[in-house]
Parts: sequence; structure tokens; C-alpha cells
Amino acid sequence: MPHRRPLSLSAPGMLVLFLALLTATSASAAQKKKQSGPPRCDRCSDLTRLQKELAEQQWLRHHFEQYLDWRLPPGPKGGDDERSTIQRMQDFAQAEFNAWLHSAPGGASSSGQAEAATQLDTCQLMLPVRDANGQNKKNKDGTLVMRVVKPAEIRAQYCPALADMILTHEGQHQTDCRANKKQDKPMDMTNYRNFAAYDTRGYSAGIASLKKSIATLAKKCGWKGTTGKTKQPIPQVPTDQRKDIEEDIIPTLQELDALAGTLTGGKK
Amino acid sequence: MGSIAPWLLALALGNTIRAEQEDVDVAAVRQKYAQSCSGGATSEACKQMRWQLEYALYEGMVASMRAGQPPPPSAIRAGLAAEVPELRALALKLQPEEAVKSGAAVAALDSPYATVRQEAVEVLRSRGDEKQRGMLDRQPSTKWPEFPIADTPPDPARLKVKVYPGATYRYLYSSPEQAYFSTADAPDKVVAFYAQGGKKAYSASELQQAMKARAMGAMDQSKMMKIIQEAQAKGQDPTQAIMAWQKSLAGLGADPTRAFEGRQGIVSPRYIPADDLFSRVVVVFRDDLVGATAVVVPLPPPGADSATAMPTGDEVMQTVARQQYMAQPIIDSPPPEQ
Repeated sequence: MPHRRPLSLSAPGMLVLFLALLTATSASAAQKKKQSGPPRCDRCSDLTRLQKELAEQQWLRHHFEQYLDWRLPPGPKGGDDERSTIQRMQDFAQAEFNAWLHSAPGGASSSGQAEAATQLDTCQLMLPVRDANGQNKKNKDGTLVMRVVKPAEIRAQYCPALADMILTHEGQHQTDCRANKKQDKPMDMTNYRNFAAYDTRGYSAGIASLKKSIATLAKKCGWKGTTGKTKQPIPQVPTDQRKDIEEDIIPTLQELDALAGTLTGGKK
Repeated sequence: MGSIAPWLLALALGNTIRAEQEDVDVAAVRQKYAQSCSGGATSEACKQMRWQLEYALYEGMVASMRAGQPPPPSAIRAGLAAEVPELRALALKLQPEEAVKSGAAVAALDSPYATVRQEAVEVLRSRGDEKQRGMLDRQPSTKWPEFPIADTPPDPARLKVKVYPGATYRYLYSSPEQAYFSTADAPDKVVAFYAQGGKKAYSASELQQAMKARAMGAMDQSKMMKIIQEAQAKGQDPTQAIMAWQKSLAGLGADPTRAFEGRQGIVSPRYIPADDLFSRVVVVFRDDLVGATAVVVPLPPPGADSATAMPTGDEVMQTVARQQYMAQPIIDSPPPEQ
């Protein structure tokens, strides 16, 4: 009997054990998160990261928009490719997104995958189940293994601006999902163009939310491309106890100079 | 199954994809890059390291400015030659005089990233000389993405005509509707290339006359009957054959000279139809604004060739429903929990 036999759905005992392990892992991870609290993204130094996040979401919206009128999802990879047309479209979007992230504009230092989802039959908010390496688990047909969650779990995991972005994106899906269910003739969500429209609206909503968060923070930081000293939020809030030390370390001019020197081969 | 794992589902999902930022040890990458990528090594590993370092420099410059210290000149110079579009655009914005003086602003007009090109346009519009400002007037009116994504020249299948040998695709003067190439060769030489195989190079008035004559010929009822009979003889659907014929005549309705005749800097344009239906007309001219010979190729909408000849009734209904759906309002904050 091989020690690492693949889990089979026909082995309910093992599946229960597997689920129990997953639950334990998730619970422990959530507990860890709970202890340290959600990450912050309300400092002036977070603006660059939020802008990058915005560009990434805009890239994704742009990609799905193309399916509305001209792009075709890739075909199956062979006879045993059981993925649906929509799944192939989603997988291709993720692969292309990662290729973009590893090119110059992505700074070659990130990779993307699904962070949350809305189940189209029940309109429920869901989270992907991840493996020990943090990668989303997939079923044989390429679909993600998901579990139902409450927004609070997402709020505990992400900083407020990103939690808002994700919950607004999924909130749009939930709103659209419920509205579609009430229609006499609901939109056929197995049609990839309809699905792309649904996804495009989700990204548009998330982008709108993120833009709002960026605008609020930028205003607080007096960010208009100024070179003025703005280490503390401007205007300072009387109750704000944060100090400069909480901000990211700002590189010294010498460090920037050395970095630039490496890129130009020492020519200054 | 349902009883043991109610939360483990594998059904259709609309999901949020996003990227998780990976930590980059800038000092380590810098050291490795300096050791293994000197002299502009172009391996994939060197490219990745370069982009990571450029992005780190971009973030560092932003942080430095926020702290009230202008980035050092060396950082600006590295930025003006950067491949990471965010860094290049920032350097253009921070040192426009240096960008114009060093030629970096003009070079940035040929960046595949619209975000970089638009920054260069702003710099040259306010600080460039008369010739440089003139170059900007050749830009077609197009809405570009506000995030950095590299444009790519159209592939041969979409272009459908050969690219003149050695010609350069110019992003700034191209658009989804047209591909603009430039070359230092004389217009006559370029025209001779496209007229190979007995094709005719027309002036504007000659082209309009030829198209009119072709359109008159197309009105001939006997032509339509002939197409129907031919399709029937081949066992094909006559309706589809007529539709394909009508589609091929679409080019006759548009005037390809309108965008070129009498326009500033366009000298003696010549029109070379790529087929005898005038569905695609290549335009060659001396472009005094750009300072080169231009070759402009009209482009069909993306995916035009893969579109089915005639949408079914169901497809039309789906399209209408989708358009109505897309026009509905969008939320901008999380909805209350239900």
C-alpha cells in the first residue's frame, strides 16, 4: 500500500480526515492572523503599493473585457482536459496575469491567484482552500476547491483598503447573482461572454472601491507629487498616536545612488 | 457527500484574482546582478533581476520624495533609461529638462507602454522645440489604458500585408484602427515594394474613381445571380455566399483618402489597394512631421476574421441582454451583509 495515495472521493473516511486537517490548518492560520490583526495599508508609504494593486486590477478588468467582443477562450489542452470553456478562460487570465506580473511593469516580484469568489448557484461569498505552499487547491476539472465564508474573515486577513476592494468586487457579483435569479429569463452564465461581462463588472466595482481608498489616503498624506516633508499624515489628526518610526524605512540618497549605479553599470 | 462537506464546493464561481507581493531582498539581488549581469546581459534571469531592481528604485524614489529629499541625479538618469514603465515615467516627470536635453523624451515616444509615451508627450509639448512638438500632432485620437501594459505590433494575420523590410512600427502614431510604420527609404522605393505583382499605386483622385467604378460593377444584379448559382453548384449555402460577397464590398463604402489628404506634414500620399475589392488600402507618404517615409496599414477590428458570418437569433438576444447588463450601475463599496 503506497503511503501517499491520492485522495479519492470514493474514500469518505480519508476525505473526512482530509477535511478535518484542512479545517485545522485554516483555523490555526486564522488564529495566527487574529493575534497580529489585519495588516495595515493606511500609511502614506502604502500609497505606492495600493497604486500597484490598482494597476493590477485594471489589467485584469482589461483582460476580461476583451472576451466581451473579440477574444476567444483557449481550446482544451487535449482529450483529457475536462475544464469548461469558462474555466479555461479563467485559467488563461491567471496565466497571462502572472506573465505580466513577471514582466517589467509588474516589477517581476509577485504572482496572482483567486483570493475570493462568489458561488453562482447560491450567490454565497467563498474563499479558496489553499495548500501548505499557499496555492489554491483545484479539483480534477480545474475548478477551485472553495469554502463559504463571512466578510469578517476577509476583513481579518487583509488590510481595510484591500478587504473593501475584494468585498466590493464580490459584492457586485452577489448583487448581480441575486438580480439574475429574479429574472424571468436569467442570463446564461455558461456562456463565456456573459461570464466575462459578470467578471468585468466585478473588477470595475473593486477598482471603484480601491480608487476611493487611494484618494482618501492620498488626501490625508497631502500627496500631489509634493516634495514637502510629509512623513506624518497631513493634516495630523489629534488622536493619531502614530510616529514616523512606524513608516517604512526611507532609502537614503546614498542607497538610491548605489542602486542606480548598479543599473547603469556604474556610470554616473 | 453533501452531508460531510457542505462547505467544500466545486461549482461555477466569479472570483477576484489579485497578486501577492513577494519580498525582494534588494541588496542580495543587487549584488547578484552586479556579478552576473554586467555588460547588459540579456538572459531571462538578468532581465527579472533588472526589473526587480528598477521597481525597487521606483519605490525608493517615491519614498524619498515623500520624505522631502529629491532623488539623486544618478537615479533620474537610470530612470530615464529604465525598462520598468513606472520608473521611466516618473523620471520623465521629475526631470523634464534633462529628458529633453539627453534625447530621453524623444526616445520614450517609442516605448511600447502608453503610460510612458504620454508622459514623454507632456514633456515635449511643454519643453520640446518646434520640430519635436510637431511630431506629436501625428498621434491619432485614441484612448489608451491608464495602467502600464505593453502594446504589441499587429501580427501578420491581422496586418495581412507584408511589412516593408527594415521599417519600424511606431506605437505613438498607431491605433487599434491603423498600424503606422516608418522607414528612412524614399517613398518611391516603398511604393515599388507594395506595388509588386502588378498592383497599382493611386493618387487620391485616381483611387476615388477606381472605387466608384468598382462599386458600379458591384451593383450589377447578374453578379449576384452568378454568385448564387455558383454556390448552389458547389452545394454551398447561397445566403452565406451572398453575405460573404457583401462583406467583401464593405471597403467600397469608406474613403481611405480622407484621413490623409490635406493633412499637415503629409506629402504626396500614394494609395495601394492590397486586394481588388479595396477592402484594405496601404498608404505611403513622406511624413514631414515625423521626418521619415510613412507606411500606414488600416486594421480590421480584433477578432473580425473569427466572427461567424451571421449571428443566430439567440446570439443577438444574448448580446442585447449583455449590453443592458453592462449598462447597469456598479457599486463602489461593500454591500451590507445579507
